[in-house]
Amino acid sequence: MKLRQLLVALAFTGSLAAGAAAEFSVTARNTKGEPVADAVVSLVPADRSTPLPPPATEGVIAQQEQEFTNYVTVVQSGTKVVFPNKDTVQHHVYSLSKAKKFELPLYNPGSAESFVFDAPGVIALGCNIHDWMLAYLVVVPTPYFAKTDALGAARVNAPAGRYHVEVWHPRQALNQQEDLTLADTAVAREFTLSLKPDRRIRRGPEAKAGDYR
Amino acid sequence: MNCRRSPLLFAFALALTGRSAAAEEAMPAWMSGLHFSAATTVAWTENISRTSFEPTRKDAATYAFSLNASRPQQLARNWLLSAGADADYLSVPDFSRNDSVSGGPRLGVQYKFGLGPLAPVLRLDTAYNHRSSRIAANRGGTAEAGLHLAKRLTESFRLALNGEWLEHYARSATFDIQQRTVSVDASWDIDEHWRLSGSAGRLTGRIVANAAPQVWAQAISGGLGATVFNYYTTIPWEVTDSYGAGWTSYNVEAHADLWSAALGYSLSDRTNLELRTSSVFVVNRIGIRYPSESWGLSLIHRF
Repeated sequence: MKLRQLLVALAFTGSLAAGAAAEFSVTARNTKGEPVADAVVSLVPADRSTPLPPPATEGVIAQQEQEFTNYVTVVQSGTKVVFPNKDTVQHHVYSLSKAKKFELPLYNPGSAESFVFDAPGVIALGCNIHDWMLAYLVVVPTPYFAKTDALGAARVNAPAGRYHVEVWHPRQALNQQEDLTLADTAVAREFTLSLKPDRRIRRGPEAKAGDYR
Repeated sequence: MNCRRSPLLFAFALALTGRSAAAEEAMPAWMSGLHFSAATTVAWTENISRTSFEPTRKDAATYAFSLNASRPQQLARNWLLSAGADADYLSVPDFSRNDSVSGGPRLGVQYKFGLGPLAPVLRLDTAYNHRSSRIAANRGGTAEAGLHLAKRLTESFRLALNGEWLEHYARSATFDIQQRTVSVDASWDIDEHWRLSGSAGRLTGRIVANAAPQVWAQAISGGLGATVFNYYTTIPWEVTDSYGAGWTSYNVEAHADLWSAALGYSLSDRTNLELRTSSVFVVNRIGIRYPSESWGLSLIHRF
C-alpha cells in the first residue's frame, strides 16, 4: 500500500511538472484592510473525472498548555489526524460537528488517538474540561489548499485547469467562492472578508466576590 | 530546595520562574498538573468596623494577598474532581488588630450536563481553612461548603446560582459564626479584554459586629432601651480593641443583603485587573441595621 501511494505521489509530482503547475497567490484582509490569518483557501478541480492523489501526510492537532496547538488545521479528505495530548493535564476533546462527531474523555497526558476524516466539512473541536479551548479542522476534497499566515498571505500550487475556489474563515458567515482558470502564469487574488467579532471564551483568571465573615 | 520536604513550594517556585522540562521531570507525577494563581487586592472600606452607631464608624484601607493551587482530575465522562489549597493574608494597617492569615485545603466535584461551553455545570465545593488572627479569640478553623449551578447562555454571558454554608470555630464563642448564603451572579465578556460582572445575595446566620466603648457601655446598661439590653446581654461579647482602645466585638444573629459589581480588564490570557464595588446591608435580630461599602482594585495572575 505504501509503495502504491508513493508511486501515485510521484506520478502526481510528475503531472504537476508536465502540466506546468501554476501558483495561485491569495491575500486575505478584513474590511479595515488588516491582514487576516487562518483563512483557508481551497481549489477544487472543476473536472472531477481525473482522480486526485491521496493524502501523503497526516495531520496533528496537539493539546499543550491547555490550548490546541493549531487554531485552524486544513487537511484533504481521507487524511488521518492525530490528537496527541502533550499537556501535563487531562483533556476531554470532542466534536459535535456533523462532518465528524467524536469524543476522547479521560484523555491523559501522552495519549495519541487518531481518526480518519473522510467527509469534507468543518469540524469544531473543544475540550469539555477547559471551555476556552477551541480549534477548527477543515477537511477539503482536494490536495490544493493553503492557510493564510499572519500577513494574510497564502500560496497554492496546482496544475493548469479550471477550479472552484473557496475561502473559509471561522468568523466569516458565508464562504467566499469563485471559479478560476489556472494557466501557466501565476495568479493573484485579494479577498476582503467580513468577519464577526471574536467571541471565544476567555481564559483569564477571575477574582472572587468578597464574602462577609 | 529539597522537593520532598516542601514539594508545593518547589512547584510554586517553578511556576514563578518558568518551568523547564528537566525541572518538571523532577516533580512527582501528581504535581505536574497543578495550576497556580495569585491575587492581590487594595480596597477602601467604609464602616469596616461594622458599627451601627454612625458617628463612631471607622473607614480604612485593606490589603489582601492570596495564593491558590488546584489540580483537576476527570473521574468519568461528565465528572471532574478538583483538589487544591488556598492561602490568604489580610492587612488593615490602620486597625492592625484585624490582620489575619488563613490557609487550607479545598476539594470540589463537578458534573457537566453535556458537552460544550453552553452545557450547565453543577459543582459542589468544600474547604477548610485555619485562621490565625491578631485577635487571639478569632483564631480557629473554618469549614465551608457550596453548591453552584452555572450556565453560559452565550459564549460571553454566564449566570450562576449559589448556595453556601460556612461555620467558623473560634477560640472564643464571640467569633463562632454560622452562615448560609444564597446568591446569584452574572458575568458578561464585553469583548476580548473587558468583562462586567455582578452578584446579589442574602446571608443569614451569625456575624460579628463591633461597638465603640461608650456605645457598648450604654447598650448593656439599658441606655439604648430594653430591647437592646435584653438581647445584647445574652450574646457572646468581649473587649478586643478591634477598632480602637476599648472597642468590643459581639456576636449576633443577622441577615445581610450583599451586592457587588465589577469591571475587569484582561491584560493578557494570564493576568486580569478588576475594579469592584461591594455593598452590604446588615439587619440584626432586633432590627439594628448598618451598611458597609467597599471599593477594591485587584490584580489576578495565573502562572
